[in-house]
Amino acid sequence: MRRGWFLPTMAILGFVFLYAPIISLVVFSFNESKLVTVWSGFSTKWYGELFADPQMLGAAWLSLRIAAVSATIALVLGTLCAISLVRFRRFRGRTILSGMVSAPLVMPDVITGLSLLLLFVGMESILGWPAGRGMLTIILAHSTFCMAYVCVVVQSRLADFDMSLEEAAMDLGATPARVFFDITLPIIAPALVSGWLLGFTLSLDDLVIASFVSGPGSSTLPMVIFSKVRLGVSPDVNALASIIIGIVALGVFAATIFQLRSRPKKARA
Amino acid sequence: MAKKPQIAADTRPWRDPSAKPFVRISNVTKKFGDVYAVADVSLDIYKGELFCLLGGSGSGKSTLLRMLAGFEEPTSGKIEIDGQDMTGVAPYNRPVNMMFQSYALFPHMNVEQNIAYGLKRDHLPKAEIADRVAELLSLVKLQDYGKRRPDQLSGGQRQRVALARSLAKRPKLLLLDEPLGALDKKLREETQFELVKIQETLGVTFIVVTHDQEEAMSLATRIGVMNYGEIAMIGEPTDIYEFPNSKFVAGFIGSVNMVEGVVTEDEADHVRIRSAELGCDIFVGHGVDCAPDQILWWAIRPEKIALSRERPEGDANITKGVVEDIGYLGDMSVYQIRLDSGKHLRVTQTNTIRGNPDAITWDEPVYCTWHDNAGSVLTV
Repeated sequence: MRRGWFLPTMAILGFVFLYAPIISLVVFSFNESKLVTVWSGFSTKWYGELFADPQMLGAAWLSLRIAAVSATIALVLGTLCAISLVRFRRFRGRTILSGMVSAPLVMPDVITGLSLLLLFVGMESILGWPAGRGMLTIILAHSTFCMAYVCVVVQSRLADFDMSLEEAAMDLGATPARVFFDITLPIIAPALVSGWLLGFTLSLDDLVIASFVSGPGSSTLPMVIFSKVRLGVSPDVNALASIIIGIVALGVFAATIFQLRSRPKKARA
Repeated sequence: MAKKPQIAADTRPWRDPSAKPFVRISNVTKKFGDVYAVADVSLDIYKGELFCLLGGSGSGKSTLLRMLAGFEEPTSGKIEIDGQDMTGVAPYNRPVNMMFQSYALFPHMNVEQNIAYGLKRDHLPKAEIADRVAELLSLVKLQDYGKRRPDQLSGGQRQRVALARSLAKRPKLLLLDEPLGALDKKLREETQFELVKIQETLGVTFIVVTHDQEEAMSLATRIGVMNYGEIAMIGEPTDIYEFPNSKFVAGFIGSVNMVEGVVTEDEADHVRIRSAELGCDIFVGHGVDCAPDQILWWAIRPEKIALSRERPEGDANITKGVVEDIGYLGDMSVYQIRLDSGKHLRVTQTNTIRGNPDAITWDEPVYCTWHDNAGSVLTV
């Protein structure tokens, strides 16, 4: 088949559309000038400035911790939820649960954020917990909506799970707990990894919900960046963004390698 | 074709009323909601048997097997294995292993780890596990494949790994769910033979579930035919084929010609049945438990009918028709004979003469005849 010029051109245009902004951001993070749009020579001074900015670093560290904790909580809860939805075909409230679990996926962030804020305020005045708003409330909020994503990812993996694998293990003398750790967990591990990564990314990325439920002294990275940008884009934000892009690229690369290694035989067979 | 285990007539335990069964299924019923998957099944299986549960999909054969393995609890009734009541015994505590239809090999473990899994659960010493795994690998002729992952194996190899894994714990009873179902025809015939050989060597009792009647006929010492959750007939393959006890069994196993008739003579040593469909009288050379004027069915296998151009002698068991179609299968030909009543008879003839120029051919009028013991008289 002869390849025309149309498909390659469109592919290139597509990639340019997707990656040109990112590349220009990375390029301008090495700009000497204070003006973001004017190139005046190569420099790494904004990276230096970034690491000298305690507010920015503090926010980044806070965001990473929140993302890691929420992704982990979401992973456990979401997996439990997925298992009960897939495995226990009929129980009271199954339909409601499956509907409610996917609701956060389509709920506008503003509404999720506002309702969680109201919940936390209400809980504080009735139960006295959580006292004030800060890291804890952000973690709770993020775990809630990340759980929905984890649940969907794990659910789809469990749906293709061959139940006879578990029965075979049980038949060979493994107790149900053993079966779960020996058979079920290793087989759904790729879904757990991608669920966790998804949760981590979503939490790291979230501005709207965090803005609602955070309190004084607990500004996450997106919040800090957003407030800075409102006063005009400063080049050290470019530097920070470039670092995050680097980390994400590494993460994606690692995840790809992991997935390829978990099934290398098809390539060899 | 696999050969049956050669058990001399006097050692067939199911023919000995005092023999103690190894597996005793008594009045077992399993309901899913309002549906009876298994309805009041009683079945005795003896040590060293290769018992086939044969039935179509939804006949309850797999459910019965899963109850033996412990994955389902009977709604009522009792299962005893080796004299021990299995009620409430979890699958991981039963002296039974199962080979799954999908093989259920653990995809994240290699062949050796798969086979060793059950042995590790028994906390056997490492060296013993290694010995046993090597022994099993050589039993299924996969010595060089121990380090492979299941998805690097062919279908036949996977089937053998699954068999080795299910035999690893030396179970007294092995349950096999459609063990050859996923293999192609040629491989299936070879594997059938190996399966029987392994079963004979190890002396393990096998219960095989299958929907493939050829497989059941060639593997089994006895067959239990299941239909709608009930056992329709239990018997040795020859009993099931030659002496079916009902219309269902006759039609389910092999092909059969079935006609309706009315009893006109009912004597102790013979019965005469008039069949309008067949256009002649059927003379049955033995007594049948029936009454005069009773309507019943008569079934005959295609290979039990002879074809001839000249009318044979006699006043019964002869009918006339026209050859409508011939299916040439090489070793034999299948004739479709249209009788005067419009009924079709299926007749098979072995092609004993090479390229026979004198063979009966299309549109020829022929006489069909059979021996007075060739058919079965069925009342249900």
